[in-house]
Amino acid sequence: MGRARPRSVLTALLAALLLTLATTVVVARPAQAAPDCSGWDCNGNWPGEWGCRDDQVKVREIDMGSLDVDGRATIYRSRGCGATWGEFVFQRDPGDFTYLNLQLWWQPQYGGKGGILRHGSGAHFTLVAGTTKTYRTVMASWDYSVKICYSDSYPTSQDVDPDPESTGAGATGGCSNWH
Amino acid sequence: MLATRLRALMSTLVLGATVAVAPQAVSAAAPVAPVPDMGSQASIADPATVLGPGWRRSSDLLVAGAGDTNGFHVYLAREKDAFAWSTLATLNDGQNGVGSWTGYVCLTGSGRYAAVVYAPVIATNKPARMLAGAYAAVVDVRTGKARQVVRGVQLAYFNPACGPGDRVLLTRAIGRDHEETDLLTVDAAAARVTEVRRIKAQFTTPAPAADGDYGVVRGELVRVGKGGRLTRLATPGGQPYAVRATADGAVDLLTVKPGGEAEQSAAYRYRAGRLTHVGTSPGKQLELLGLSGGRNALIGEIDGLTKGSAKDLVLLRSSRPARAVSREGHLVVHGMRAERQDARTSKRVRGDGELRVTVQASRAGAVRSGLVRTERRTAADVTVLAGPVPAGMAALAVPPDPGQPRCAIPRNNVYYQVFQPSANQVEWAVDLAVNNLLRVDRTIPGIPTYKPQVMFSLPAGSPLVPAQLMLAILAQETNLAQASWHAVPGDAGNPLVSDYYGSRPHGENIKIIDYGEADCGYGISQVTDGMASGQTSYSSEQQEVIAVDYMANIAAGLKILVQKWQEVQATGSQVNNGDPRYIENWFLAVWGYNSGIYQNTGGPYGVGWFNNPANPDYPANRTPFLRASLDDASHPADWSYPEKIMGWAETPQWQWIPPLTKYAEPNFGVGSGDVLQLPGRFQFCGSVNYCTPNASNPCPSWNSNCWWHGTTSWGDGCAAKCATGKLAHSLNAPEPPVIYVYSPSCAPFQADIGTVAAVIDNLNNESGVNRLGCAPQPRGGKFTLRTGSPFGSTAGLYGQVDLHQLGAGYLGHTWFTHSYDEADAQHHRVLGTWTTDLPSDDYEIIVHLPSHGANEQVKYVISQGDGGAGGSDHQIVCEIDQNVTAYDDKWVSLGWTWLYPGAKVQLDNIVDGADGTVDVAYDAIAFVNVPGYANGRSCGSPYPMS
Repeated sequence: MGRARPRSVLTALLAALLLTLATTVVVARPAQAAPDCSGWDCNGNWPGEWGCRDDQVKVREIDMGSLDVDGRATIYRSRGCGATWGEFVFQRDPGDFTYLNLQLWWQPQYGGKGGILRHGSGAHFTLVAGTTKTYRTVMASWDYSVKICYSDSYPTSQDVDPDPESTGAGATGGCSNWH
Repeated sequence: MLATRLRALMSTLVLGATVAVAPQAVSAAAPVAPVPDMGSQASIADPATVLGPGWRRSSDLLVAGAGDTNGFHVYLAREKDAFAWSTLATLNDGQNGVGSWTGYVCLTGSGRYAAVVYAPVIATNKPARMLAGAYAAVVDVRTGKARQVVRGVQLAYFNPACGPGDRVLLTRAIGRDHEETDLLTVDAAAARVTEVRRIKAQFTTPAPAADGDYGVVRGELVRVGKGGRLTRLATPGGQPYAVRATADGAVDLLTVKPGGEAEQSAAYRYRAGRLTHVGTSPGKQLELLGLSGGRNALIGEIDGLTKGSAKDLVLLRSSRPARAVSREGHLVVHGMRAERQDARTSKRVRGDGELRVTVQASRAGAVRSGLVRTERRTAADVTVLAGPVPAGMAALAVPPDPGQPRCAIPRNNVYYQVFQPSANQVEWAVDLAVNNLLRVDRTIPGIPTYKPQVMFSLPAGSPLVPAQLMLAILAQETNLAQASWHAVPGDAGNPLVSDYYGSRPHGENIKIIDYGEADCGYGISQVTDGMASGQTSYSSEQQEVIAVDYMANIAAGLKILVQKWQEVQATGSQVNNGDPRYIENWFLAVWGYNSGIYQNTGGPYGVGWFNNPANPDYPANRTPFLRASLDDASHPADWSYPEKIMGWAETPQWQWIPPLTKYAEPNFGVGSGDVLQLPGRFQFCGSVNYCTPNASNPCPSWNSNCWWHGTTSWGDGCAAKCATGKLAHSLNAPEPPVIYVYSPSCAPFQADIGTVAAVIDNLNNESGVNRLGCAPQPRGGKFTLRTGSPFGSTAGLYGQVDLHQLGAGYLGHTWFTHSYDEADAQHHRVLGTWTTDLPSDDYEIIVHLPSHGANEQVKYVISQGDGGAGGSDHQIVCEIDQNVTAYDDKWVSLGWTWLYPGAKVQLDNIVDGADGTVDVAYDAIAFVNVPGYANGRSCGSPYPMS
C-alpha cells in the first residue's frame, strides 16, 4: 500500500494481534435446528456454532456515529439459548484505517461491578481497512444486564468503559444503554 | 408477675414499617395503678389539678431522650402545653437496620441546647464500642436542628455532662481497662469540640462549672487543669456516681455508702474548699440533675436530706428513680420505653414509633403514664460529620474498588437465604442443645445432611449449661435473630452479619466499604472467630451452616460458651460451689465471653476490669438489670455484660409478636424470692487485684493489675437459692412449627379477566429458590437490578450495601432498598427492570406489592418497546404508593396498554428529596393479554385477589 513505512510495521503487529484473538469470522457450520446450550452454559460460546442465531431477535441497535464510523452495533438474543451477544457491522473506504475496540459488557443480574466479556472474545480490537466488516462477540447468559460499546482506545488489562453514562458519545467512544 | 404485665400489654402491639425484629423492643411498664388517662402525646389530662393554676403561663420545659429502631429521639414537652411530648430530633448517624438505639441527654445551663450521646444498642456488646464508640451531637431546642459534634466517645451514664453554662464535657476511655481518659470540652452553641485533655487515670462523672471542670478519680472529687492535671479536692467516702456544679460555685456529689445488704445514697456539697454532708437517703434511689438558673436538684427518696440555706439546691420527692426532670422541676420522668402496636389498628406510615412515658408531677406527686407518637424527624434537620474520607477518594468520579469481602458468606446471594426462626423454635433448639440432643437431620440446599451437634460437638466433660443462660446470651447478642433484622420470624433474609462492609470504624458511613475492618460476627450467637475468608478453624461447610442455619449457629455458639467455662477453670477461678447447673455460677464465664479471659503466664491473669461490677463506669446506685423496671433495657450501658446476661435470664426478653415472652423463666431457687442471687458490686474486689472492697477507690491501677481471678462466694453459695435452667420443650419433640408474622404468598397469579401472558418475578431461573416452600413457576421474562451510578462501575458494588433480599412477597422472595435523592445516586441507586418477551398486543400490567418492605410512592416506567428497531420507545409513567399494602400482599394494576416486543417496566429508587429511610420493594409483575379496554382499570386500581 502507499502508506508510510512505520505504519506497515504497526499493521503487521496488529495483524498478529488479530490472529491471537479468536477469529472474527463466524466459522461455517451446518445450521442447527435446536439450540445446543442454555443460559449460563452459553457463556463464552459462539452464537452461530451453538445454534443460537436461528431464532435471534434484536434487542437494541445503535449507530456507531460518535467516532465517525459508518456502522451499527446490535445486541441480539436467542430465546431458545437464553443468551445474548453483540454484532458490529461497519464499512470504511479502501485505504481508510481506523482502530476500533469493540466490546460486549456484562454485569451480574442483581447488580454490582461489570466488565468486558473476556471469555473467548467479548472484545475485538482491530484495525479496520476498507469494505464492510461484521464482527460478532461470544455469548453471555440473557440473565445478565448487557450493553454494547465501541471505542478507539487501545485495550488494557483494566476494563475501561468508553461511555459510562450511555450517552452515545462518551469520552472514548459510545455505548448502548444496559439491557 | 411478668405474665400479668404482658397481658396488660396485649391490646397494644405494633409492627414496624422498617420490618425490624426490634432489638429489645419493650413492653409497657406496669403503670402505677390506677393511672388516669393522659391526653394526646402523654399530656397531663387534668393540668389545673395536677400542675397547679399557673401551668398555662409557665415557661417550664422538659427535654428527654429515648431510642427505638429508627434512632435515638430527643423529645420536648412544655408545661404550657400540659407537657405534651413532641419529637425534637432523631439521631442515627444516617444508619438504618442496625436495630434499636440508646443514649443519654442533658440540657445545657441556658436551656437552649440538648447535648446527646447515642449509639446502637448492639454496641453495648463490644467493649471497644462502649469505651470509645458512641456519637455525640447538640440539638437546638428551639429549632430542633441537630449537629453531630464528634464520633468515638464513651457510652456511659455520665456522658454527656452539662452544667450551669453552655459548655459540655464528654469522655473517651483509653485502653481496654480504661487506663486513661480523654476529656473533651464541647461548645454547645458552636457544636464543636474546643479542647481535648488526656487524663492519666480512669476519670468518671465529669461536671463542667464556671470556674473549671470537675470529676471523680479514685473515688475522690478532683478538678481538671491544663493538660489533664488533676487537683484532689475532697474524699467523700463511698463510691461516687453523680457530680454536678451550680452557677453559684457549689459542686454537688452523690455516693453510695456501704451498708451491707442495704446500701444508701449520700449527698455532699463541695464549696469554697469544704465538703459538707447534705444527708443520707434511706436507700439508693437518689439522683442529681440540673434545673434552670444553674441550680441542682436532688430527686428521689429525699428523707434524711437537709438543704439548709442553699438557694441553688432543690429537693424533689419522686416515688421511682428519676430519668429526667423539667427545667423548673415541675415534672419528673420515671420511665420511657419504645413500644409497638398492632399496625392493623393504627395508621402507621414511614416507621413512626410509639413511646410509653411515665411521669410524676412534683406539685402533688401525681403519677401519669401515656403514649407518645414519635415522629421521625427528617435527616435534613441533622448535620452528620463527614467521616474520614480515604485519600484521593473525593477526587474520583467513581468510588474505589473495595476488593474482596472479608466475611466468608456473602450477602444478597439468593443461594444464601436464611430462614428467620420464631422464638419458640429458638427455645426448642437451645433446650435440646444444652442436653447435647440437637442432633436432628438438617438439610440446607447445597450441603450434605448433617446433625448440628455432631458438626459442632461438645467436648467430653462439658459442663451442663442452663437453658436460660444460653437464651439470655442470644437475647443480648441479637434478640434471637439468625437472619438480618429486616426479616421477621417466618421470613427469610440475608445472613445477620456484624459490620459486613467494615464501615463502622468510619463512623458507619455506608458510603465507605473497608472490608479489612469487617467484623464478621454471624447469626444468632454472633460467631465471629473463624468466619472470615481464609480462616480455617471452621471448614467451608461449617462456615455456611453457621451463617444459614439457626440450629447450627446455636450449636457452635454453645460450644464457644463451654470453652469459656473451661478457660475460666484453667485460671483456677470459681464462684460459689462451682456447679454449672446454676445460672449464677456462670458469671465469670459470661464475663470472659464478652471481654476475654487471660491465662496465667506469670503476670496478672483472670477476667478484666471492663466488666467488673465495681467499675465506676457503671452507676454505683444501680439495681439489678430489668428487676425493678423493664425500662432498663433502654439504657443498657448502665450495666456490665454479665449483669445484663443475668438480667435476661431472670426476666425473659419480650417482643411485640407472638410469643410475647420469648422463652421461659428459669427455675428459681428455694427461698430465692423468684430472683437470681447476684454478686455484690465489690464481689470481685480483693487483694488479688489490689482492690479494696467498699472503698471509694476500689481499683487504683486500672490496668492489668485489676484483673481478677480466684474463688468467691455470695448468698448461700448456691446451696439452695440459685436458679437452674427450665426446659419448655420435651427433649423428644421435633422442631416446632414457626409462628409467622406474615403468611407466605405462594399462590401463582391468576387474572380476573384476560389471559395471563407472563409473570416476571424478581428471580430469574431461581423462582424455586426460596425458604418458604413456594413451588417454582415458569419464567416470564427477564428481571435485573442495576445498582449505583454509573451502572456497572465500582459504584455498582456500593449500591449493594443498602440492597436487601427478603424471603417474603410473591413466591417467597423480594428485593428491597430505600428511596434516595438524586444527590445520593452514585452510592445508592437501584434500578429494577422487568423485560418482557411478548408478541405485540394489548396488555394489562399488574404489579405485586409485598406485605412488608414496600412503603414509598414510586414511579413505574413502562417502555412500550420497539422490537429493537431503534425507533421511538414510548414511555408511560404510573405512580403507585407502595404503602397501600397495609401489611397484606397486594396486586395493583398499572393500567392497560399496547406493548411491542422488548417492552419493559422499570422501577427506580431515586425520589426527589428522599433520605434513605423509606422502603422500596421490587417484586413480581404480571402481564395479562386483554383485548380491548375490557376492565376499566387504570394506573393504581386495586386488582382483585383470586
